[in-house]
Amino acid sequence: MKLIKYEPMPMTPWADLDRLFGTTLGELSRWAGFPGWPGEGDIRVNVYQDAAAYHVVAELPGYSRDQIGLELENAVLTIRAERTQGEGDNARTWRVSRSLTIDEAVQADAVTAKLEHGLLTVTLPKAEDRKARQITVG
Amino acid sequence: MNHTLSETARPLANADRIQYRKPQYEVTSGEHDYEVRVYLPGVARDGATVTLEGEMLTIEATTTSPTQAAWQRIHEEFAPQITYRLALQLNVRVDAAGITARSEHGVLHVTLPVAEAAKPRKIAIN
Repeated sequence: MKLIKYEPMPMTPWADLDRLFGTTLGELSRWAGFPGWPGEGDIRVNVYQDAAAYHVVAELPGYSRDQIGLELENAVLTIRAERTQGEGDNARTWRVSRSLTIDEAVQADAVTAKLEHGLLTVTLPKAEDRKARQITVG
Repeated sequence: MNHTLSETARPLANADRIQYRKPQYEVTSGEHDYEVRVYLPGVARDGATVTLEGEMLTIEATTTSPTQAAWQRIHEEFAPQITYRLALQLNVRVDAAGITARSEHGVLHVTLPVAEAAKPRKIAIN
């Protein structure tokens, strides 16, 4: 079955419209609703901090833990992910990556990561001398 | 035989004007069913609702943010909390009772079995 995207109709602020038409049955085909994503390319990230750590939250829907690689080298955090869907001629591979420079000193050996519902949260504890301290006024 | 899946916008009442984001999605078709994969990063297994009303398949979901109140924003490329909405007009008859949905790693897989009456039939030539 072939699915062909038509030109989008005028958009409203809260929704939009595309049309997909099938023509013949029996042929496997696919259509990505947003070209370029979630296929090749970057990973969208948010970065936060608290007194003790930096927190990087990355969108990685569809990837399992063993399909994601994390590397911290020379103050650059790199997130890579790769997955293959389908088999044989219909197999399709997605590769995404994102590198972030961590300006501040972190405890590299204490970095942790958690994957939940397609969101990866990487916690980079701040180096002891960079942590915020409360100073008592004497 | 032509089968059509259309995505459509449904007007909402003013009071319901939540800021929805359209999720990325893919549709694959097999001999007996369609599979719609909807990318919903941050949406828990029970955080999505799938509704079939007439020919309209609607998927709504809200993310569960891992961010904490004490976290200060340094850089943000996506909203910490997002409400997704996708409406697909099904121009092919599906077996409503056979629709299944499962969520894995932030991707919702909805399987729509093609109704028996809509399947192609081989016609014998006498």
